[in-house]
Order: sequence, then C-alpha cells, then structure tokens
Amino acid sequence: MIRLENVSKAFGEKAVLAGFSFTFEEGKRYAVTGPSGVGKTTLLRLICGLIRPDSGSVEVPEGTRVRAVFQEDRLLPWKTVLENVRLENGDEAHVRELLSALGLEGEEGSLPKSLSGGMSRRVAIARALCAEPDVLLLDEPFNGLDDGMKARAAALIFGRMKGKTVIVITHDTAPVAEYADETLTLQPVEN
Amino acid sequence: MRISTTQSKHPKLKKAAAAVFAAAFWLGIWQLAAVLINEQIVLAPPLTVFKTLFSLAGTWDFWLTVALSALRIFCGYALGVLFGVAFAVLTKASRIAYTLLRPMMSVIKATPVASFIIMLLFFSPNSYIPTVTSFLMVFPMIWANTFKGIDETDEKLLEMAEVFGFSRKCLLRDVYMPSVKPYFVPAALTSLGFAWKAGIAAEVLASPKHSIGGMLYRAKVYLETPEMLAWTLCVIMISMLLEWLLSYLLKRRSAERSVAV
Repeated sequence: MIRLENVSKAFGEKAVLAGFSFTFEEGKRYAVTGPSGVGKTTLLRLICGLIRPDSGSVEVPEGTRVRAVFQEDRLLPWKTVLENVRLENGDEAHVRELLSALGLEGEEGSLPKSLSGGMSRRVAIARALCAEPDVLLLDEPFNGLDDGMKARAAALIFGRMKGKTVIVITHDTAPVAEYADETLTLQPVEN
Repeated sequence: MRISTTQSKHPKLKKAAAAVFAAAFWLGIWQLAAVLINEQIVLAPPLTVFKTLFSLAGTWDFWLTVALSALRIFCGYALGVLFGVAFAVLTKASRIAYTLLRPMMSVIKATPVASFIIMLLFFSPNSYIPTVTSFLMVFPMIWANTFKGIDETDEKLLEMAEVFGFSRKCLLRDVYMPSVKPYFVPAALTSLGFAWKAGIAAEVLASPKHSIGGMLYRAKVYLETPEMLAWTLCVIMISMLLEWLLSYLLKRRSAERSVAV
C-alpha cells in the first residue's frame, strides 16, 4: 500500500496540498479527479518520488515497481516506437502484442515525431504496461483518444493490471468508471 | 493548379563540377598574381608549388614529418576532447567545480595562441608544445558545448528515465548522449581545424624535430617560398582530410546506431 500522511506541498506562495492524507490499498483501482490546479499531478509526482513533500510523509514500500504514464508522452524522440516501449529489457513479442492491442501494429519502426498525439499517447501507455509495474500511475492517459480507443485502452490497462494497484488521474472519469474501485476527488486548498 | 519541381539528375556531378570550377578560378588568380609580381621569393606560381610538393612527397622524410606533426597535434586534440567531456560532466555535477572552472575557460579562450606558445617555450620540451597548444584550443570548446548539451537535456525525459528505473548505462546511451550530440559534433569538427592550425603555429615557434611547422620556418628563413607554400598546401589538405574523415566517422557511427535500432 501507498500511504500519504499529512502531506503538504506548495509551489512558491501557492499551496497545492495541505495536510493531505490517504492510503492507496494494494491491488485496488483508483480514479483521482478534481478541478485543474488541485494537485492531481503533484500527487503523482510525490508517489513517483520526483518531488518531496514540504511536510508529512509519502510511504511506498521498498522494492515496489512504480511506473507512470505522464501527462506528456515523454517518448525518446530518437528511438522507434518498439524501442520506446521495450526500453532496456522488455520482451519484443510482448511489446508487439501490446502495440497491436492498442491499434499500433505497423508502427513499431516509426519515430515519435511521425505519430499523431493519440498514437503517442498509446505508445506511452504501452511503455508503462510493458514494464509490468506493481503500481501504475496514469495522468490523463486518455487525452487525444477517441471514445472507442479510450474504452479499448482502459480495458487493456485494467486487464493487464489485474490484482495490482492502478491510480488514474483524470478529469474524464467515464472510461474508468466501470473499473475503478474508488474515486478520490481532490478539493482545492484555500490559499 | 499544377505544381512541379525540377531536380537535377546528377547533383553530385554538378557539385564536383562547381568545386573544380572554383578551384580553377582561384588557381588562375594565383597564377596571374605570380606573373604580375614576377618574383618567386615573394609569390611562387602554383605549378612550381605543386612540383615542389610532389618532389617532397617522394621522400621518406616528408611522410615522417607529416606523421609526427599529426601525431603530436592529434594527441592534443584527443586529450582536449577527453578532458572537455570529463570536465563538462564534473562541472554539471558540481556547482563549485563550475564556479572555479568557468573563469579559467574564459581566460583560455581569450588568450592568443601565440601567448600560450611563448609561455610554453619557457618550461616545456619543444616537442610537447604543439600537443599542449592543440589541447588548449580544443578543451574549452568541447567543455562549453558538452556542458550546454548536458544542461539542455530535457528534464522531462530525465524524470521519465528515473521513474522507469533506467540504469546508468541506459541513461547515458539513450538520454544524455543523443541530447549532447547536436552540441558536441559541431564542436568536435570545428575544434579539429583549430587544433591543427594552432598546432602547426606552435611547431613554427617551437620547431621540434620532424615537424611541418619546423619545415615551414626553415623554408621561410632560407627564402624557399615554393617549399613554404608546398608545406602550407600540405597543411590545408591534411586539415580538410581530417575534417572529412571525422565527419564521415561520426555519420557512419550514427547510421550504424540507427540500423541497430
């Protein structure tokens, strides 16, 4: 489980999280929603260990494999789709299967610059799934996808992550509604 | 509306023809100037210079001289690249190192090459001076460009690499090296030319045994203008060859990497 205890985080004068506490249970699926600027992405960055809280604690058990789909695709521009998904040691057959499941067959050799926004998004999802994480964090993973693809991607994500923790940060809860065990709605901090 | 584009059928041939034309034009100007001056000691005509170069190239001593000059200068260049990259990494990692090294780099860059050579003449064996001079030309340039490349590596990609648990090797190969390459390659190519020219200048002043610079100096002292111009031509040709070779090697390596991908 991932435990956030009395976490506060501010950027300059603007407090984003103030005394926030929550426990993400192992194996459960969460949808995190809330208005813009409420700290959803900050939450993801705290769990990933990319930033530290100003006060309070974020506990992620030692050895937990946390991977993320960021708000931006963050693909390596000089690597092909296949390489971006496989990274250091992904199995090629597994990568091809994931790409195919996300409607990206035939794009294995393409470079990110030749992909549309929606395709890049799907590559980022495939990359995170290929890493076979214990905890998967997704920040607006369905941006740029049409409704059909949103449903397909959501089914793939939750299907592959069965029994593992999934935290989806989204303003569009429809694609995850049928899968999420719990929805966490963040409220703005009064500055 | 119909849009059509015209492409040359033989672009390489056209390029070669243009190069030949330009070379012939400037050789013509050189010949004309030599005829007008009519004093071989001041300006030898191109044919005489080429004949001198061919006769020099027929001697064992010529090749030994070229090889030793190239070796001295290339050692300085290679050390400059090595230290430039190493110090870029160090100064990126340590703010103190950056604060200490930056003014030194500015001083090295601003100091005339002749000053370095004269200073080195006091406390370095003559045969090392071209190596040290080449090193001093290359080091700050490689450092500055590599540092900039590292500094401008996309923070978002670095975060992604952290979250996905990239190994150090993978981080270097897949994130840093491709980010630094557009800064490093032009610096490596440009500094090669600088190293070569500064190295030869150092050889002129230090006159180590078996050196192109030494031969240039000797030809100047004995007023052997055709020989001096022949050695100058040799310097230019080697400089162009080195630049082409390095550019070719870097392109080939890049192509190999993309094929391996």
